[in-house]
Amino acid sequence: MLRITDGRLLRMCRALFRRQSTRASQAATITPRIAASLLVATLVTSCVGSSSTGEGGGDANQPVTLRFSMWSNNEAHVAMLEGFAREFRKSHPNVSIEFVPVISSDYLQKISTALAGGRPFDAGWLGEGDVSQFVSAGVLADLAPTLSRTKGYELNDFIGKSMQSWRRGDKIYGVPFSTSPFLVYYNKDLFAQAGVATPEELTARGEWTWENFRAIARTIREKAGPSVYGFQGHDGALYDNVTSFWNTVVPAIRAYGGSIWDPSTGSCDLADQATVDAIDLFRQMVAVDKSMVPPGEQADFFAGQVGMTINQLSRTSLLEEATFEWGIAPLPSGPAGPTSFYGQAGVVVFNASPHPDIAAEFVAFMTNRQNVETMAEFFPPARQSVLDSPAFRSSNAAVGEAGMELVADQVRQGESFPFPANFADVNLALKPELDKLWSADADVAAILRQGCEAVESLLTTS
Amino acid sequence: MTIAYQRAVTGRRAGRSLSLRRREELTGYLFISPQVLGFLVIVLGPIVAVVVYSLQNRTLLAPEATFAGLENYRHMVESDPYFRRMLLTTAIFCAGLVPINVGLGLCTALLLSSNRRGDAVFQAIFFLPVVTSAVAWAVVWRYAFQGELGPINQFLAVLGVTGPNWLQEPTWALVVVTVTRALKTVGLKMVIFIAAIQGIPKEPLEAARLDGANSWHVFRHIMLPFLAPATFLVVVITMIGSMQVFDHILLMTAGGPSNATMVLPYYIFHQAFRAFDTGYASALAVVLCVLTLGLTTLQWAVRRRVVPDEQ
Repeated sequence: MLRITDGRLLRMCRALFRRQSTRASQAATITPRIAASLLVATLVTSCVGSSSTGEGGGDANQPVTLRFSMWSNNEAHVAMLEGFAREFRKSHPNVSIEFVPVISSDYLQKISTALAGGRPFDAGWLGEGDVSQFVSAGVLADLAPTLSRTKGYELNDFIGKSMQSWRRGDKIYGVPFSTSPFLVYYNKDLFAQAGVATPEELTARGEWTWENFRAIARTIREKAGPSVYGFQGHDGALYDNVTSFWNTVVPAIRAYGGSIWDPSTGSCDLADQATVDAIDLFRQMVAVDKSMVPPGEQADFFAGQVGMTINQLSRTSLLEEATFEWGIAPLPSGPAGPTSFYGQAGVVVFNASPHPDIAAEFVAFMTNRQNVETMAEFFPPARQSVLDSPAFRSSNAAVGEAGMELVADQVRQGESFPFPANFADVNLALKPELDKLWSADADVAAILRQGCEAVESLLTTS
Repeated sequence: MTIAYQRAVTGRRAGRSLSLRRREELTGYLFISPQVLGFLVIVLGPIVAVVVYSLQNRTLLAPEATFAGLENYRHMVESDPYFRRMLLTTAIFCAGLVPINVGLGLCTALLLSSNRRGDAVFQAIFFLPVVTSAVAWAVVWRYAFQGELGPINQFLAVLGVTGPNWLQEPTWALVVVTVTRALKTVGLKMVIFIAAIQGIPKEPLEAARLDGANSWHVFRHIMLPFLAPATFLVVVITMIGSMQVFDHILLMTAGGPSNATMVLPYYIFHQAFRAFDTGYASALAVVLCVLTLGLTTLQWAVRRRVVPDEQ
């Protein structure tokens, strides 16, 4: 494939500019002159555009600017990352890093458009749900060589399952900077009003199970008023968003001993009895008990209208101005025992970056033990040493030391969702089936069998 | 500036070689060149690119692409399990939205075009949704159409009617997104119709009334023919707008339930920015463009037959 360097492109543009200017001045008729003017204007535009991208080359001493994409515009996050960049510059004086915050809803659009446009970000954040798709497309760089040769990096410090989504054999396509477990958030005021035992009390008695979870939700619904519900799915988006659906039901599926699918073999396990039983629990809460916020309603836990929800630590910020007392609890256990489940975000390097090696070095620097400890203030870490540290336990005043110990436990024991490579297509095929689950007479087993039929061919190709 | 302009147009070389007509042409071309340049770069360029992309295997995750011929179109027709359903949904959405939107626009215009006291206030009220943010509009309606606890169902309950779970039942969800979207731009169509109504000469109306025609006859046989050009314009722009609806669907139902409100533009978005299949998304966009163009052309042809002045 012919590759045109920026310098060469600039020279071509200048030559064409001169040629077109000369031709334009010699033209005898009007139309060619106008056409030439348009062409010249286009070339000028492209020349200006290309020269602005020409920064940085292969020379180790030449100034290099890495563009790093992220979906947070939280000033504290940006300041923290800029601090890392300043530290990194001490060992790489020619490297500066530009952090580009993008609205989270536009994030995939932005980074994929940058890739398609041939001017990708050098590195950036990526959700674990998108890793498989990006790896399949071959756009992520293998970080394993850089991580293994970085002194004191201690890759083994990352707890075993936390690297599952980011590894493919010996290759590592990203390093998780946030491993955030799903927890039960509950409204202590509504619990007291309903006169039910708290999750802490039930956990102490070994009775914090999904069956009791359902019973508590029902009691809250009965006793706390007609506009109050017992339970709300993840982010209140359980019925709209397949990811929220999984984030809500997977903890129960695993506690019941079920599974969803295995992208490595293409098998779909949705119709297994344990999975059916777990999902049927939620259907009964919606359609029979009417204790769970049903499709079409917008009652919200964070507004004090719901007794319990499942969410991650980052949502604690929504409770800063809460007018009710709240607490966090582990996920309930089931016939297969207790379960832990987390979602991850990682740092990746894009293959098409002009400086993939330097970008990989920055990722290694950013995710070393010291910096992960710094990030732990905002993002639960996957490094064992940081999870065990007293600094981590005291890093979040809102949930307190006991809460952070719970978070650490959930990360240690947790596992993430088995994302297939074509998750978007799988969701599109599965969603119409999942929408049928919520009626009183829904046959969950039959619906999930149909769901499997709808996605099986997609799982195989993934 | 005037001197510089004259030199540019009638400079020595131009003065010797160009006739007056040529100089005038040059002036014209210079005037339109910014517009032409903008059209080429911003409109024509992307259209050509989409047509080219539709003939390629292309992903949004990489700049490289391979030629696929008509493979994307073949897949659309033969093996895409969603395409026909989404085409039908788009057709139903358009068929519902256009009459509601145009009909209400015409009715409100007829009611509010007499310059009576208070007309301006009602015109402003009907125009308000046009300037309201599309996001706010969708979110408010989504809230209003909640299930049991939604304001609309609570109001129906007062009347002794049990309302459906509007946005969770496939048929009702499509009805709700169609009607709420139609209501958003009624004010704009009303303004166009009011301008057209006020342009109708008074004499034929007065003559008809003197001859004993009732209001319906005056409207049907005098006003409607005069309003035909405006009506066709409104129908065309409403239809084109309805075939491009995206934000409203995204915010109200995200294409659900059971893909019942998944219209073609939303599906194009899914293929391009969720599945990253830019080649296939481009093919879908070309089909949508051709369909829109075809329907517009058809309406234009009908207009030439129906509108008296266009004969």
